[in-house]
Amino acid sequence: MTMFSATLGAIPAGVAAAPGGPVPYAVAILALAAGLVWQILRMRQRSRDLLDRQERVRGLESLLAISARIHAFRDSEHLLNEITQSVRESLGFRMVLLRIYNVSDKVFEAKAFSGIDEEGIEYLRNSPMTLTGFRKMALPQFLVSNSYLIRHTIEGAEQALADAYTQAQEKRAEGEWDERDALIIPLNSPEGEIRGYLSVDDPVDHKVPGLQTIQMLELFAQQAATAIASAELYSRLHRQNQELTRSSDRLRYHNELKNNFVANVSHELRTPLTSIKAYSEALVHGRERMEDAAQGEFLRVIQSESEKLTGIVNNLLDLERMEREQITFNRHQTDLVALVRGIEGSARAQAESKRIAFSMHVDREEVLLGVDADLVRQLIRHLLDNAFKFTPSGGKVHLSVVDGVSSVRIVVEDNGIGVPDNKMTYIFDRFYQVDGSSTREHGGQGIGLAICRDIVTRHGGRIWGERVQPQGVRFNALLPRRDEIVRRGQDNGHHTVFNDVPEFAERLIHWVGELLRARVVALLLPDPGGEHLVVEAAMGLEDRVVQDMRLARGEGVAGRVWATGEPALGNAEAAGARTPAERADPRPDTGTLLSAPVMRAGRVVGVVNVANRIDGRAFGVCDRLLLQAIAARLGHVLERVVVHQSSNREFGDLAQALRKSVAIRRARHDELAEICHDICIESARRMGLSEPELMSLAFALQTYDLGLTGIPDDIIHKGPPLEPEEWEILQQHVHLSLQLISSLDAPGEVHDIVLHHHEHFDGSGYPQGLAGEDIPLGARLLMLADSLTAMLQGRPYRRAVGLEQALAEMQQRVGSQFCPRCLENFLEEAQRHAERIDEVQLSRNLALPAPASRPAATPVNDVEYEDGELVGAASGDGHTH
Amino acid sequence: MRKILIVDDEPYILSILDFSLDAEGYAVLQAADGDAALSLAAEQQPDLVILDVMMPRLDGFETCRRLKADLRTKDIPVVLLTARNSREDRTRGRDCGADGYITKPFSPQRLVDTVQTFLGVRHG
Repeated sequence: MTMFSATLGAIPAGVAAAPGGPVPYAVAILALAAGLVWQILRMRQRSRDLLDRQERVRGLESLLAISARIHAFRDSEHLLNEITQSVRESLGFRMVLLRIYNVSDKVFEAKAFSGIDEEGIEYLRNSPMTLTGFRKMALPQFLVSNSYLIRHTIEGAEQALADAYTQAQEKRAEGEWDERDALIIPLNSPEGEIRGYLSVDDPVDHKVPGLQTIQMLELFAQQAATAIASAELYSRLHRQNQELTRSSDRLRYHNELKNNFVANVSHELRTPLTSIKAYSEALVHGRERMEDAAQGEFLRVIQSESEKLTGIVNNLLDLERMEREQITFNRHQTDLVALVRGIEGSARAQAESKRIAFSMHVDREEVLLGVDADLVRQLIRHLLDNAFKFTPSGGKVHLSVVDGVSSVRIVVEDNGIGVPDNKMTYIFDRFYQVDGSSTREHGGQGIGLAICRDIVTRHGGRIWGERVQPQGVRFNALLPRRDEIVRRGQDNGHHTVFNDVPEFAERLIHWVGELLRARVVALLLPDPGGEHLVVEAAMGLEDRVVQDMRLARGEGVAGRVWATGEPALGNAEAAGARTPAERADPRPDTGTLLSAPVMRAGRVVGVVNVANRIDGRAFGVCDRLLLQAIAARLGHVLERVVVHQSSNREFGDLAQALRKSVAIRRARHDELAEICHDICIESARRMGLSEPELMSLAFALQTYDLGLTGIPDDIIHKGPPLEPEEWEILQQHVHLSLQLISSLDAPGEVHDIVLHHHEHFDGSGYPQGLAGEDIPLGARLLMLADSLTAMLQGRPYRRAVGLEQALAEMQQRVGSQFCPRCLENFLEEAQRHAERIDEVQLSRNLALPAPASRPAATPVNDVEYEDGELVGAASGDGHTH
Repeated sequence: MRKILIVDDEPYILSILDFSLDAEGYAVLQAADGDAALSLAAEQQPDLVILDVMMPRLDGFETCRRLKADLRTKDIPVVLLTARNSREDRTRGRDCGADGYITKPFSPQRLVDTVQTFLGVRHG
């Protein structure tokens, strides 16, 4: 009202100035009235506008604040979350979804959510919106401003939202927002290209949003689109910058290598060349003054130096050819034992000339593997040359071939000058020389190991070096067995569990084989009719057997296991394992087959068989427990295979757990570890653990140290005392282990055993500082097994010790670290294995120069599943954890 | 008779140096590394030292520096024998007090010529 009168005084000025008189007066009155009405109407409109404007300003102000906030985010993921949060908190919608257009897949991926429940998020993440789907929503009848308001009452709405996710909302009155309604606000790039869209739902005021709200949302969307574009630009620049830094580092490094190479090669070439030139010239000019014997001696020098020169040039050429992939790769079934025996003679001669003791050890009479024999011969020669070169007279070089379930390892070990830890990863680089100085004692061009790496890589394997105690280096070339996994219906197109993930079948079967140390593994599942068991995937079986085998319920060992749900020991021949003759393998089978039911939710859903232990021993109770424990988890693993083939992350976790499990097994679980596991299980049995508890312990023993693969090598290998922050990192391995194990569905018990296996009896351990009987029995026993294994195997920071000393050391820590009751049982069981431990340690020492020393650091990275990441190795110091 | 000390870790090189210098009537002393060279030089007072640069432990530069730092040996001329002939190495050679240079591979005849000129110049 005040506003009205104030205006009244001002307006009529023009009217009041009109000429006087009755008619003009009336006209003036009318005009005044009309003017007033007009003014009133205008004022009303103005005040309404003003209110609107104020609201709009407030809206814009908050929008500005949000924009400022979202523009501060450089990390895309956080930014996207912030965008949906902002819409929810400040723009009046309870549910917000942000989809971003993926140009390569041509779909809108759900990237950020606000106010949407777990189930909804899961659904949205797994159902990207296609372009076609988007077009069904972006129809003209829904268009409001630049957005699409899809009201359920409009024709085509149902179709447009056919795939949309709806979360139940409160019941609304007629004309209010309905849960079947949707509002889509496109996010456009400054160039007008669609980059994604916001989908908002469930308005706080229950009203169908008006033009103004929609425009506000659009303004915000525009800001959001700019922010996303800058975040992308920022992260792209950041990536490029990092990439640039990396490549410039790489360039610098390669340039250094090149310079080294030029220096090394010129030195290497010039040394023999100098002799050849000097001796030949002396012969040319001084022949007449020389005796025949002296002439002969000179010629011999020329000849031997020419040979040296030829060798160097050949190495260079080999490397060059390798580089260009010109060497043809002829993979044939080869007996590696025969191959190394062929090299033995020349190696012995080489060793003798340098007065180095050369020894050789092969696991068995024959080790067959599909390799290129010429290349592998070259590999071994280079490794030996390298060892001879860096081992002084009086030293030792040892060559061994170690047969494995899924790979064969060629090991060359010396007690020479060794390689510093920080240079271990570079020595396989071309032209790299550990000692690049002019005072270096050893020649070479830094080519031998580079050739070795090429050869091993061609075979799909891996090569690494490790320090040995007290001095020297051990090179391991791991050559995988690749071609031995057979799957059902691979050729005739039958659908199988593994059809879409063949490499996973390999992984799973290798995993079982590796853990049980078995050459033959078969996974049998019921056929679609459920009448027969068929082989789903297998290792060490003939393809024919895999494709043809059908077992009815109760038929054969596996059929009986299927019918009864009880594990069984049987005869390997009966289960179709290749006979020794068929395998061209003179070794007898162990004659035992271990078979266990694959369980899922208490039901038998398949059978897993293992046969032919790699060391030729028969399977024992511990093996049976372990296979049962594995089989009990296979059901779950298989289900995940089926369910998660499409979800890379889930599936990746599972595959990684298997990969790391195999890697840890190879790196740490040797025969000594296995004996310690046996001692542990037997002690547990004595102490009255139930069968299911024993199974959990058996599984925990195989998996408790998986987490070490996530800890840097230098911390694992350092040993006590550790810096506080290093100690903290090391302790993380328990949680990393648990994370990996969770993919393999370890029930609570395995989890608890692993979680607490570093708790000390007096409460001084970690992670929870439990004490006494509060620590699960399995965990207390596992700690004993871990400590004993570490002491018997040795670690980079401590030498291996014999059983007697190990047990004495453990007894000193009874009550503080170890549970007295557990240790008592453990010691008694351990004594029963004393002889075997001695035997194994003794056979190890053959490979080693110093008494009872053991090399230690084996990187926990394995070959078949190499994924570029370099993971750490073993730990488990007997003293500290 | 003039005495020449030759130092190289490669036995073949030592032999041919010995052979060539011996044929010219020099008395030849041999050392396979820097340490042996230092004591031999101090003890035997050779007229010239021919010193290989690339040697394990004590390299030629360092051996030369020590020879020149020792009152007993500082006046004995040192000729470096090296596969390296870069400017950097020549500078390093000069810095450690070397009197001359012969690069590998070398011709025995030329080497003898160089030695003769060297001793001749020094004494002429």
